[in-house]
Amino acid sequence: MVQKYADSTKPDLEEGTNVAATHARLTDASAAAEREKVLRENGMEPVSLWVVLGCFAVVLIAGGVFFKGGNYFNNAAFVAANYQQGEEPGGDTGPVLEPAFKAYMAKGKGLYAQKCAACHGGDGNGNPGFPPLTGSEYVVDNARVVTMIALNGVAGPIVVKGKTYNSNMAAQAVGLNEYELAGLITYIRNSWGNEGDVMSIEQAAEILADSDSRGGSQLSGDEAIEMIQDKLKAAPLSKEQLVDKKTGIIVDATEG
Amino acid sequence: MEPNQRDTPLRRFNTFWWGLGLFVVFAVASLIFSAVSPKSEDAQTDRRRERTKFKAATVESQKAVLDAKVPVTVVYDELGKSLVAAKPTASTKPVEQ
Amino acid sequence: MSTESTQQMAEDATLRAEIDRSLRHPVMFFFTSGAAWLAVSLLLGIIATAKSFAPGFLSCVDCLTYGRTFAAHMNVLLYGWCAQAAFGTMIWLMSRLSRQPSQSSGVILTVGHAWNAVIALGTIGILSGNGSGQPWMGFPNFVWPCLIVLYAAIAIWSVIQFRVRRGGHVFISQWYILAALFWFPWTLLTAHVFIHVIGDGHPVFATAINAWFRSGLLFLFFTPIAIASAYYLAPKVTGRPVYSYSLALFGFWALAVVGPWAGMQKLYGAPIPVWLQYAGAGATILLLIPAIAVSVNILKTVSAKGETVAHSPSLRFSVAGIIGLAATALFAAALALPGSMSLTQFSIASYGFDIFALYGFFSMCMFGAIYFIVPRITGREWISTKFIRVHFWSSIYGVVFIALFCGLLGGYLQGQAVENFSEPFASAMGRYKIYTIGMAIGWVFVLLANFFFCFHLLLMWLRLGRRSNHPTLLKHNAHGQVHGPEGDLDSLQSPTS
Repeated sequence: MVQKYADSTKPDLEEGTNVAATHARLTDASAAAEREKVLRENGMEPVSLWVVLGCFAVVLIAGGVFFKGGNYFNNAAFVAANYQQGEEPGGDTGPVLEPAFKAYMAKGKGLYAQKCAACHGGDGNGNPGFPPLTGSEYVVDNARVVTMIALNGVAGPIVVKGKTYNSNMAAQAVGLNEYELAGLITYIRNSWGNEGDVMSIEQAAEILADSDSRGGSQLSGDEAIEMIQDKLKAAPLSKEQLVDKKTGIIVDATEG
Repeated sequence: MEPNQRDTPLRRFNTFWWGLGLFVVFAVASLIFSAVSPKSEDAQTDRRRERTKFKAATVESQKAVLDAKVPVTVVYDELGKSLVAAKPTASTKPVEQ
Repeated sequence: MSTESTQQMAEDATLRAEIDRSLRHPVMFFFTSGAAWLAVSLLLGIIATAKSFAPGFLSCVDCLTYGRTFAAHMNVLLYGWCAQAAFGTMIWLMSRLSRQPSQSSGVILTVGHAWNAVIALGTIGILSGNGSGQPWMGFPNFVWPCLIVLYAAIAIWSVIQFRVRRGGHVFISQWYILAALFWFPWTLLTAHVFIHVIGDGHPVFATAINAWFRSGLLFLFFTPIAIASAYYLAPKVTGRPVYSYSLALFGFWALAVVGPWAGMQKLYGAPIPVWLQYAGAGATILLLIPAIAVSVNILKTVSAKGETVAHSPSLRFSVAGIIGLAATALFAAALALPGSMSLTQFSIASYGFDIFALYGFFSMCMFGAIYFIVPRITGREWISTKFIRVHFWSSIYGVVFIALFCGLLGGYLQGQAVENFSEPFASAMGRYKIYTIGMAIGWVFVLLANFFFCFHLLLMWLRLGRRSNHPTLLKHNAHGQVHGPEGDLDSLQSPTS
């Protein structure tokens, strides 16, 4: 066999190609690399109809999943028999919850701007003739006084932070419901440096009842001073307590 | 073989940095996007933050006690010894009835 | 292209040899260290599965609790074996197909060592109790940034090679490898950044992203690398062209479009938006389309050459892997619908599926690639056909046993028993004990296969392979061949096939 290639009378495959020399060169290279076939990817066989049908069937099934979607992936459909599930009919997600402080302040802010800011100032510092609410002893010490004043108004001289004011305030907070009233008072008692607590709906109800039993006439300065000592019976809300943003009622998220 | 026209140092340099950039571009974009998007403001998230802060504080304060060097099997012996060694102190006067 | 001059063929062969020589060290390192980590993972897997039915097994050893062993088993399988096999295959294939030797072998080899060191530290971390507890992302938190950086240092050179290639046609495998080169850092980095940085420890968010990552890593990194290797080996070893170029094109784009959507169907019933769940389920079903396209293409390419498939170890493993691809896609689709998920979601079926996908499909394709590549980079042929045969059949028996009987069947029966309202939970869980015993036996088969594979690979690494220019074929009689008995050095003068 060796003689065949070394025979100089036999022509090489191409001009200038010495097959024996080429092969000898390749003894250094990997024999495995030499015997490899060339990679070809130009197969142009037509795709079988079965492949197309198969893919079409897959798309149909997947499409069914997409379009049935949430109904198909509804846990309720695959719950085993006799399994008790509690579920709200109609899929109601429940009330929007917020910390009490945030909800009540938001409520009160709008009401303050509407009813009180004209006289007592947007920053609570009052105007000439109208007492300030910032640091006022009628506001800070006790929620009862400020609420009664808001509900009934005050007439005659009144001493606020050492200065005497002698004007007439009409009842401004009449017609507000308990949540709105509590919100307004909370806002007044927690803004501009005042630090109070959040008035609860029970407290608001208590004061409304007291105010109704009083008859609705304006307070005098002396009555107001007396009321400062009179604490409310009901308790205020804690600031982080979660309440329903719409109604101000406490919602215990651990229940239900 | 004729020299490879496409293989220049500039092209290699370019591809190196573009490639690395493409590896991380999605993550970087996600980080930027999440940093500038508004934080969620619902009560449950606030509560979660409070709860985790509170829990971390509790764990921190209890760590000193929980990381006792005395293993469980001998802790009662140690307790007993320390009680025996403790000096008796005067108790408070009984409350007047 | 169908008629090659001898000059061209000689040049091609020289170029191939040069490429193989340049990549010898990094690729061989990835394969050998990968095989070693596979052995470690199999041992951990056997311990973990044994603890399922015999909780007292090795309970004296503190670091081998079920949770730690199982987590270490999966993560070592993924990042120690699967990732390194993928890296070795991907850099070799890209180099060959871009027709240029690698200029960064030293860097890749060093980074490969660093990768192993990081994986080792991570495994020690898991076994000492500091794992993250997330499936498939279980290494301690210092590991993932290292993995990203090391991966970039390994993979960027392949990207550069692709860009500076001579031009001309881009082969099918190159599309898949290029895509996988970018999909891997995308899924890995996105998942970890979203969970650790953006998500701020939110547990449901982390679970959802983790479910997406598990599917993404499998279908967007391991799957394209395995498909690329099959698309390379099938025409290369048989000498026939790929069956249909347009089908290959269609299959690639189908995978690219559908793949990223799959994953969150695993969280059916969780408090995540329901559209994520059914989009994931739909996408998982749609993954059958690229699976059908690829398997039809590859199987049709080799169909007329049944003998070649039977005799060539690389082709045998690759074809088995591609059949595994079709089966994996079918398995995934079957497990993705609420009807079956209500039974299998919390059973061993998901583990059986993971193992079938990673071993029955991906690893088989990688073994095929390794049996092809290693002789070329070491310049030796495989020593023993017996070893290869044992490797092949033990792997098949083991993985089919684990995945189909124990995973699929066991999972369904376990689920049915648990769903049975009147049967106590303890007795329902007791039903699946027999299947965990079966899984342990299956793993023993696979360990046996891997033992032979590791040993064989080690011999090749030590340059103890057979010196010959005839490949090691799985033929039953070596006598009577045209090329003479194996091992003839002077057969260079006889006509090659």
